[in-house]
Amino acid sequence: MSSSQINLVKTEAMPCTALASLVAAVAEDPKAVAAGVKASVRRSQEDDNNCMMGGWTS
Amino acid sequence: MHFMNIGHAYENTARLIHAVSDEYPDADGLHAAYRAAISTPHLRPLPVEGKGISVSYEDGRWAKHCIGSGIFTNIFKGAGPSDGPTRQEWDNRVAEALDLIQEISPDLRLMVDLLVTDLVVLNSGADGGGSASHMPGVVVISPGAEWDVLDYAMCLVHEDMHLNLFVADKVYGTFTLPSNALEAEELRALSAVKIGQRRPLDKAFHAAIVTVPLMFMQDRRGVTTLVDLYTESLRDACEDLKKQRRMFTQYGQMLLDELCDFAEHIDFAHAARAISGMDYAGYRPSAYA
Repeated sequence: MSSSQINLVKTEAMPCTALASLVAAVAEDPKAVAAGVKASVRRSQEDDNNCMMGGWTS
Repeated sequence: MHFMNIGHAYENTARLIHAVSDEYPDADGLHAAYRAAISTPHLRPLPVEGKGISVSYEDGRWAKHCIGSGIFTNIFKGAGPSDGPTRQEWDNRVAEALDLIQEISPDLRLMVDLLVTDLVVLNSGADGGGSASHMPGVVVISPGAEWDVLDYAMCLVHEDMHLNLFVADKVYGTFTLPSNALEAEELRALSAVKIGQRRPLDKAFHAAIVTVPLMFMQDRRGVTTLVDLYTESLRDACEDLKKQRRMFTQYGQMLLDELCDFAEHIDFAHAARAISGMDYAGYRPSAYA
C-alpha cells in the first residue's frame, strides 16, 4: 500500500456568506498593509524552520 | 480568540495567498489558491499533490525529504517499516478522527481541511505529532498503540493549530525577534504542556495556545483529563508569557491577551463562540514593524 487520499467534507458553522465577506474584505486592504504582509512573509521565510513536536519522548 | 477563529484563518490565508501570488482569492477558491501558493518553492520544498489530505508513511516523499534535510531527525530515525494492514488501520482511524472533529466543531474541521495538505503517519517508537513553519500544510503523527479516535482527532487539531499560528506569523509576525533569539534563557517561559519546563518563548506560546482547542475537544466529549492537567499549568504559563509581553508584536500581544483571558475563566462556551463567531474575525492590520 502506498499513499492514499482522504476526501474533504464541506460543512461549516460560520455562515458561508460571512466567510466570503471576510475573504473579500482582504482585497480592500490598503496598499501599505498589503506591502507590510509581503515584507512579513519574506521575513518569515528568512527565519529558522521552527519545528513543533508534541508528545515525543525520544 | 483570533487563533481559534475560522474566519480569521480564512482572512489570514487570503492575505498569504495575495502576498505570494499578487492575486486576491474568493472564499470558494481559497482552498485551491492556498495549495497553489504554498507550492511555490520558496514557501515549501515539495508542492501540494491533490485536493484533499495526502497521506504517506515512513517511506513517502515527505519522510525522504525530512530525513535528507535533517528535519524531525529523532522522529524519522526511529521509524520502523509499516505493513499494509497497519497503514490501513491508521487510514481508518484518521478518517474516523476527521469525522469526530466534524461532529465536535464543523469549523475546526474546516480549518483542518483548509490548512492540512499532507499527513505523514508512522511509528517512531514514541507517540505524538509534529509540524514545522517551513513545511506549511504538513503534519507528522506517530500514533500510540493505545490511542482512541479522540486521541487521533486531538493530535490532528493540535498540529493544525500550529499550522494556523504559522500562517498568522508569516502574515503579521508574532514576535519582535527571530525564533533563534527567542531561545535565550531570559526570554523563556513556562510550558503549559511540558509542565515545569521553561521553553523558548515561541514554543511556550504555541504550547499554551494548543491547550485551548484540546481542552475544548475533550470537554465536548465529556472527558476532563486535560482540563484537570492544563488548567493550572496554562495559568502559570500565561503569567510567565505576560512577563515577555514586550517581545510580542502588536498582533502577538492581541493573541496573548486573548489567551490569558481564556486561561483566567476557562469558559468552553466562549471557546465555541471564538471558533465560529464574528467577534474574532475581520482583523485589520494597522501597522507593521
